[in-house]
Amino acid sequence: MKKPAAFALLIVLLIILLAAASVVGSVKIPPGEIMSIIRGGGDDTYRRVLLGIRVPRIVQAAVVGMGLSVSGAFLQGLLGNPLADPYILGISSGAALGAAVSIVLGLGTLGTQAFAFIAALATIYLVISLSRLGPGTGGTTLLLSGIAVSTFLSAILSFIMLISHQQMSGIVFWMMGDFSLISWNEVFVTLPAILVGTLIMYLYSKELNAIIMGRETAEHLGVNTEKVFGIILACGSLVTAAAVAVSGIVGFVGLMVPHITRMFVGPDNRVLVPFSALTGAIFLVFADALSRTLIQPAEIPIGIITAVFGGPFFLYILKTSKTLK
Amino acid sequence: MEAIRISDLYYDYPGKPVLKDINLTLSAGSFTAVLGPNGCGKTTLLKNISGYLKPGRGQVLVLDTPIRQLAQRDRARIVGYIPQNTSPGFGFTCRDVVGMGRLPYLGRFQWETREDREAVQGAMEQTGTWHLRNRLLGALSGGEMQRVLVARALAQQPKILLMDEPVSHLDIKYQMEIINLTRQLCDTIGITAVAVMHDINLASRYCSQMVLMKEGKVVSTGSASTVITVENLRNVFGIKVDIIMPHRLVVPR
Amino acid sequence: MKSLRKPFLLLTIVAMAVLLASCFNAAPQPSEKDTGEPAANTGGAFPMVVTDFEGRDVSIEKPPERIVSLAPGITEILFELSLGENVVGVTDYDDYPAEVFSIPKVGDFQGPNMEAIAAQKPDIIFASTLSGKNSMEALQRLGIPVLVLEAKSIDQIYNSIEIIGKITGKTAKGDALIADMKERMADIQERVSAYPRKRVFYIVDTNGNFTAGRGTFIDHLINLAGGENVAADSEGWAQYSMERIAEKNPEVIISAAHAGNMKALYRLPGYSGTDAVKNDRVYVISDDNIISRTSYRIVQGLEEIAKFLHPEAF
Repeated sequence: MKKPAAFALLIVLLIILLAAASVVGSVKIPPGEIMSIIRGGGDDTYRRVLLGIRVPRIVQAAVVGMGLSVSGAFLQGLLGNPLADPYILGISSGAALGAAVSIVLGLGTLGTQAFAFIAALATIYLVISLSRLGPGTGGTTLLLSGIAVSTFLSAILSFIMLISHQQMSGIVFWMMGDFSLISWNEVFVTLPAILVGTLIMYLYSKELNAIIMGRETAEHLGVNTEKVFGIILACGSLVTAAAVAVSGIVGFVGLMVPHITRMFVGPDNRVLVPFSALTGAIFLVFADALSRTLIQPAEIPIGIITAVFGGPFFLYILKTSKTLK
Repeated sequence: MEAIRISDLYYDYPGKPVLKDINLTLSAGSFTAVLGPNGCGKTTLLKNISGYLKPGRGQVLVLDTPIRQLAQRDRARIVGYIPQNTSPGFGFTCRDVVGMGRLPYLGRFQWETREDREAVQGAMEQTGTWHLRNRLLGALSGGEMQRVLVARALAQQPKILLMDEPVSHLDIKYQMEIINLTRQLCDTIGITAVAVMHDINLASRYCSQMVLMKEGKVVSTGSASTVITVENLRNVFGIKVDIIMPHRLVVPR
Repeated sequence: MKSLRKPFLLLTIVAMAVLLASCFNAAPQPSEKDTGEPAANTGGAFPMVVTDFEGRDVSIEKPPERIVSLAPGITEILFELSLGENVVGVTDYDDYPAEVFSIPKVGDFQGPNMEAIAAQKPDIIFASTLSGKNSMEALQRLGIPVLVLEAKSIDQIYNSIEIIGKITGKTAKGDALIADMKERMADIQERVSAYPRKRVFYIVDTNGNFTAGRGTFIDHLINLAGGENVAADSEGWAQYSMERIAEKNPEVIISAAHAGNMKALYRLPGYSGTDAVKNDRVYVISDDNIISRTSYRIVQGLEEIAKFLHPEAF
């Protein structure tokens, strides 16, 4: 199938999914009611449920899905590692630590979001600074620095969980990813950040293509690789930090979506990125719908749903990598 | 006309001097081979010419302009560089790869124009790779891949072509193909080419100028008859050879 | 020398006997704070056999003087029955009354510490099944009577007080406590009966939106206090979706003491449109333990909840 047609198909699929997701949930809203609400009327309670709780959540899932997928695609290109994900440079450990501190201090949702966001950015800054100790800001150096910082922060996190076992379940819950606390406030703050971040990264798609061929090659093609690294890392971190701050750690999306999309549309980031964005949005809206309907009125944390998809995904990669050169 | 003039060039890697007192002049349209044992600084010289590295002392003039004074993009419009090692391309097609040669001409918000597409096609036709355009780079033979990389450099529409060991790993057929192609480009469109090579005989057959290096210094430069002598080869490579005329064929004794 | 040796030997033997006897008798005597209560003996009822809540028959030889309590609820009851000085071991979870902080800890969140328990030489252990099955077997291997009085209902709380009173010889005190509890509970129920039931939602933790569903103590208390637990369609400790909360529209929201910042609640989707938030009827329990711990203070918990629901009745 030609690429423009496939792209259009994905857009249609996303729209259909958004509509379908709005219809399901732990509160059954009759279709007639939904029509009334769309027209501006409708029962107050149903209105609140649909427009105040369900729709912002679905939108957030789409936005986060898009953001994580695009960040993942760019990071995979930058690090030259198709198994990289947006959290690989330590953002998840940092954010989790920030959230844990906030939860233990009892600072409420806003506090947790703010702490997670700031901690995430601080962590990436630390990782990049430390990587300068190694031979140049190559992919491997960054990766090593990320793993080192990640491990250290996870240790601190484990300790905090141990000494505050009353809040431990709250912390664990946050870490598994959660869209249940999303309201329009979160959407209004994260949507512009994620949108702008992904757009800026997208503008550097062709430079990233060159970097994938080799940093030196890219430099000789006129690409200031240091600058491009910096911009992509900054934007990617911003996008990921924003996503993690409001929804916890949603794993596998940033890894699986670009990887699978690449198998279909190729590595050219000018094509890969928009396709990943759409696919990621579709996937997460779908996963979120599952998370809030399977055991209603309880919810399966979204991170568990994505992990359930993640396992078979890796098995599939294992199987097909034998056939790849 | 001088395409490249290098004056009093010194270059050090941290804690290790590599290039010492290099003075070279390469005329436009020439095809120069840089020869010498491994580690003598051939690649470093090439990277100083391209402007990738900044000289410790001295100056590199390319087309009468100090190459380091140009912006990186402008450098890329003049100098096409083919590195020694290249990644297999992770699924990029040949056309994608050659298309990257147009990067120095594309603006931030620009996608490829017709002009760019024509440049890509032209470069691929010149290198005889147009029929490979939809194949994956990683699926090609060594010779084909190298020709595609030459096409990429050509897509930059450069005046200078720098090649770091372009044929060392190829079958003899492809070695001759690439070097022949380079010579043709010099003769037909006036590109100035500089190639780091190991095969002395191939170099002397196709290159109008030779540079022989040892331990960071230029031992000899000029035409093949000046540079390729028994004395020089023994001095630089530590080998005893016979030179068989009229082809100036170097044969180990 | 022979004449001197005999009395000397006698003296030594007597001294040693006294020394030995005083070692075994190191436990503090139960205080005689309560009047009108004969010390220890309940008229020859010992040894007695009591059946604990696990259906186990446990034989009690005499009123216990060194008590280890692994259930904070039982600890509270013990102190209320003036047996505080007999308590020689508690857990990290114990925090009421203040005296417990100076009592040696023999259990933490990982379970009871067998060595620490044995070191206190107790003659009875009150255990809870929270410690887990393995602990039960290990406890019993210590050779000390183990009693499980883990109440699952208010009636069982009364029952546990009764049993404790019986085996420690504090029957009168126990009966008085039970009577007091019953009276206060009846009073509360009567006061609120005049008013229509209020829809209530209880928040255990905002992370994950955990509530107390049907069958929990809190659910029971809400009902007694003249309320209707909107989360009764879920069972036990359950997660509740924001959508359902909005749909059920509780009139009163009660939160556990550590559930999180209540001001933040007003912004959360699902909560923000409810009658409870609109009318500012969001309350925080003063102490989680008065509604979840199986102690006599459960009445206090009921009272607090009732006052949240129907302030006009008090």
